[in-house]
Amino acid sequence: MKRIAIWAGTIVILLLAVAGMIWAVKNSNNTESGDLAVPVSASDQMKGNPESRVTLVEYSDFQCPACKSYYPIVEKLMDEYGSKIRFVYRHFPLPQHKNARPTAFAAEAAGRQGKFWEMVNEIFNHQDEWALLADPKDTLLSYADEIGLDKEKFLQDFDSNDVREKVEDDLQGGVRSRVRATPTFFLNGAAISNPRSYDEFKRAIDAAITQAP
Amino acid sequence: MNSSAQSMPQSPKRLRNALFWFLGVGFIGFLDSVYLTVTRFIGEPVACGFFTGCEVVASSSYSAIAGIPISLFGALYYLFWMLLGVWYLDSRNPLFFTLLPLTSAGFVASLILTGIQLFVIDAICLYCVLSAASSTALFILSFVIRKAGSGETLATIHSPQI
Repeated sequence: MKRIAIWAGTIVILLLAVAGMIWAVKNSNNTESGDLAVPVSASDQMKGNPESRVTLVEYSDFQCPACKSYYPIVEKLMDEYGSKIRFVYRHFPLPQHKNARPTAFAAEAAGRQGKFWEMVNEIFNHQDEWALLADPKDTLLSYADEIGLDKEKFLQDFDSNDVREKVEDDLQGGVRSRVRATPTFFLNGAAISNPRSYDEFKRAIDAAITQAP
Repeated sequence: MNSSAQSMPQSPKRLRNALFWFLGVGFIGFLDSVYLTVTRFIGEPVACGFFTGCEVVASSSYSAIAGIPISLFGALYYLFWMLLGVWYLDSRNPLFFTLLPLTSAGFVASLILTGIQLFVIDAICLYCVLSAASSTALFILSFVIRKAGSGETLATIHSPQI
């Protein structure tokens, strides 16, 4: 009997430890972020209704799988709420994703030609294609071509300090907002727990619209 | 196994304390390694507060062997020692003492991995340091346990069951 208790106790403790750890890691990004430290400005990549009082800001990393999974959700949200809210995309390239920066540069370079969101679409939809490349530049150039960018200007902007500074500013702003993981969403300046479904996201947005002055 | 009552060690208290430390340290190492493994599989960054080396180390090419994260090996390593420790508490089987020198494997692995962090990656990961400290502590405790348990080993060896 004592033996059974010892082994059952050991197994229960170990299983609880592993389950607790998984739970803690899954919820960690929701408790660590605070308020949005950098207000939305003209330098931000924004879509939706620019006049709206409801703002959703996402700190994202193009190479992060979770960000890719949230991409269609945010797209659907913008299809539905595009006239009621504004959405801001900010870069938060994580150090372990070595192609997160070049892709962020590519999106910003496309933004210099007014096609930021088209490039975001290409980048997220083809994440598997470039994520492991040693140098994704050629692949990114092919996306630029696909969405009809001036390739020469794209390359020029891709390598420019302006674009690099923009990505770095986003990242630093994210650090100041205590972003620890990607994606992290801020709704009207406050970090929100990553919604687990489209409906949960919708409910959060609806509540923000109702509360907006 | 029934002879456990007759084969109590000469320094049972010291052995018991060392064993509990062994299990406790093993549990800390286990939690630490499980944390690193879970963050890797879930895709969350490693939370290292003011320290910036965690992500650099945890995402480096040295953090996995054939696609399997080293932290998973670490978790299994600590799990092995914890289960073995509990098994000894349960069975008093002296084979435990014979296996204890294998903690040197974890110690050597920790030395190598710490060396890689310091001299190759040039970044230190707090959780990896904690794991290195845990496996070093297990290695040191293995001597304490063997010494404290030598009476028990001898007693058991000379017992009729063997």
